[in-house]
Amino acid sequence: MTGTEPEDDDALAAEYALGLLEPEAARAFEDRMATEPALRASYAFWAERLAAFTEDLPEEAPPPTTFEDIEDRLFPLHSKRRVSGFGSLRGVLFGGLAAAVLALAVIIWPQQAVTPDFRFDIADSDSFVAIGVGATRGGVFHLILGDEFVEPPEGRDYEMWLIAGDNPPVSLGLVPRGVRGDVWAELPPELTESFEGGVFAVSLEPEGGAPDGVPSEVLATAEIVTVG
Amino acid sequence: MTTRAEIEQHLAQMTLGDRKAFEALYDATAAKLFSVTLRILKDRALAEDALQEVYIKIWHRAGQYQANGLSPMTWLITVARNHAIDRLRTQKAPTAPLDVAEILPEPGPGPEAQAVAAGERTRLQACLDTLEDGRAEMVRRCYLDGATYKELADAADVPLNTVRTWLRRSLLKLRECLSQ
Repeated sequence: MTGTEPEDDDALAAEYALGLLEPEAARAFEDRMATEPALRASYAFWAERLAAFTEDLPEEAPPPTTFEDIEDRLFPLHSKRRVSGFGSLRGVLFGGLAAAVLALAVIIWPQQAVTPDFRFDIADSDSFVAIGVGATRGGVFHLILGDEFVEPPEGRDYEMWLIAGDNPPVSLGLVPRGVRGDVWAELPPELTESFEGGVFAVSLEPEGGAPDGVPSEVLATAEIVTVG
Repeated sequence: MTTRAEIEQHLAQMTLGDRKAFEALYDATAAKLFSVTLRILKDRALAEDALQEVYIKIWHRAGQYQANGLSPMTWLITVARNHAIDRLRTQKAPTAPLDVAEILPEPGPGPEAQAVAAGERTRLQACLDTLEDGRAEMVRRCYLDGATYKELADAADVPLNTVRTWLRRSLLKLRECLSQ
């Protein structure tokens, strides 16, 4: 777009607000908006006025489960709904819940770069290889499953644990199956705070996670290193 | 009726990770945003899925809403509309459009909501009414259906550049009217 006349920019802002620009032109407009307050104001003018069109639309409540679905996608490690579906809270938090959880977590990724405060790697053991893990104090948990990662045997799952000080191990959920690359999840910040100086462990469990909420067979451990 | 200040408060709390504020924001705005994704995607399952993604975006971007100077409700509507349009345009094989009447549900917004918005909508319509025949409908189709220049050109059976010229001229006229 070459238009530099104020009028051209007003029309351009309207086209942008309406979604009429080709992707390349839209990006160019966004770049300009970042440095030109007048263009931002013109866009805001259009966005505000045009939003009045939505008053033509009859409002309707989404299905009652929608908010829970959103929470499951955003906060897979502590979904309210799944907790209520199981008898034992401990079994839920440290077993069945986790199973569903990290499998779901693959669909989530942060909108911006995350700088980990903690790193830990389990490079190799006899039966378990290659995962890298990072976390922030704010509760973002980042699991990296390399191409060389070996899936657990049929009917079994890998479960991740945090051992902080003298406390009993706390489950961080199951390693998702059939996934390679980056897996993001969200943990309660209270939990990631206690990563400092702790130990990360991976155990082999029956499918769905440790039945008693304690690790069955620890395969590998790693010191958690504070980097941030 | 949730006020602007309340929505802003929810958004501010969300940037601190407050999930109760997120739920309150959802309760106050989901019916509105669902009407937007339903209208654009014209398919209930797609619209529900898009709505989920919209709120995931809103959670992650709560801290950014003031950057472009929009009011909070306009910002939320814009996030929903843009996301639904992106989904619409990336659909490789769209399902046959259902009749709109089948999809768009009763009932309408409550009397309060209508009263509050009536001013803006009336004003927009008054200015749209000053445009040449058919142009107002084009603008409306762009906003509410995500229509592209190509689709407008095909519908009017004129070259794309002609439609663009028409519409740009109409938009400038609209801008002048709305600014008065």
